[in-house]
Amino acid sequence: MDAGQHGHTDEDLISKKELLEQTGISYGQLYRWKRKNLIPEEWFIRRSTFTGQETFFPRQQILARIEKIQSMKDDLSLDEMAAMFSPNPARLTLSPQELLKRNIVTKTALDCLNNRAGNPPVLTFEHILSVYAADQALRTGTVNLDEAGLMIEVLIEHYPRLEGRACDLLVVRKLGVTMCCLLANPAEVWWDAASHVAVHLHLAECVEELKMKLAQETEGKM
Amino acid sequence: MKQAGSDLVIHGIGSSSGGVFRDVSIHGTGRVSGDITCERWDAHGTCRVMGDVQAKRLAVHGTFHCHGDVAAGEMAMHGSASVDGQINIQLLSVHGRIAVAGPVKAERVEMEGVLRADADFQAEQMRLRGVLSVDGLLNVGRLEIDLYGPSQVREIGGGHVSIRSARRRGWFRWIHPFRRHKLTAWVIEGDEVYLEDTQAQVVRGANVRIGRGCEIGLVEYTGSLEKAPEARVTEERRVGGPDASE
Repeated sequence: MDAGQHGHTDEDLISKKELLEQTGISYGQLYRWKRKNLIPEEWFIRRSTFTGQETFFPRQQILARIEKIQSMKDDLSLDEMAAMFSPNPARLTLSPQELLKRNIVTKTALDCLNNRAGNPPVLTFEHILSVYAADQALRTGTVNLDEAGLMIEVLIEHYPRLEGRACDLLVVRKLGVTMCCLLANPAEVWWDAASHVAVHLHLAECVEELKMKLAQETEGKM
Repeated sequence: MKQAGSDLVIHGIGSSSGGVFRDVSIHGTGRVSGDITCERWDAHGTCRVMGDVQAKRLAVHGTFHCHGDVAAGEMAMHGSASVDGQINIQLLSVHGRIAVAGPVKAERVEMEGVLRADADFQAEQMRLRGVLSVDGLLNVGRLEIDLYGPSQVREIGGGHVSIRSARRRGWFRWIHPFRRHKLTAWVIEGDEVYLEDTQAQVVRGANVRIGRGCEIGLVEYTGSLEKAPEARVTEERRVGGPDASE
């Protein structure tokens, strides 16, 4: 498999050997985590080198993931962690009030959802995720309220179709017109010079953060 | 739709369109033309399923051919099985031959005979006496193989990897002098690795023991390396610090 397809250059990749040396984990642990789906299959990138074929990983993602696994493994079982890392929507619903009370999203972002989806009394995971993503974008100040609403609309409408595949959310402006799209990974897009990418969110990371927040908050309450 | 409480019984030659059952018992030749879900599957003879099989316990004596996926708590095979889809299972026990086209996920595997997998194969524990051919990654937490013939695996990874060769004794060894017990692999990686009669490009691990009859291109280890006098290792390298094995 060619690495170019994955859009990784040499600098963002880490070899398996280097990874084990840097993190201090063993082959047994790495393979065990792979079996338990803690490390997604797409991150194992096979490339031929002068010593034969070797496995590489996307550096940032794998290091962050291993750090998380190591910090959580005393509290959670491997299966619980796998559920947290999986991009599949967790089976979970919350009321809008609870979401605000737990400080997961701001009122502004929630209002955007209410405008677009008509005050849903119970929020599904897709709802929560869309508000969370919009909230992230609003906090950085790169989008306005209308555009946040657009993000929410796109996510609610199209995120379930990806059926748990990792994807990116892009907000692009050109000549004052805003577009929002979902891009299933792995994919690359190139824009013309006049287009400006205002937001580029990795939804898999968003889902992970969100699940972590939801889990922490539940623990805190108990 | 059939009731979940009814049984499917085939004595002689028979067929079913599938559905949900309590017990399925086939003596003779049975054919299921769709998906089937059951508590217990007990077959003696020949059976063929055109769809997916889901069962708590699957026992087959004879031949079994599934054109879809198999999901089961326990599968005990005596004879020959082939699965065109994937297998998801707690305990897989095979005496005879099994061929799988899709990926296999198991908790525990106990095998005597021939395994052929065209994709990745993973298990927490696996013991195999016989011959295997895995055209993907064999990822097993604790792997013990007793080789009884020529085998190949593209990649082996896991915690504990042990490959022993059951040498023919006495005059048996003159019957097939060219069919040596030999495992060929591209890469073998694990914490504790023991190999016999294995040919591999690269072996990486913490504590590595290379036994008789091995031909290894490169061994990389962080802890210790032992080599039998008859083993051939072209290059060996100790990597990482002394504490890297922990």
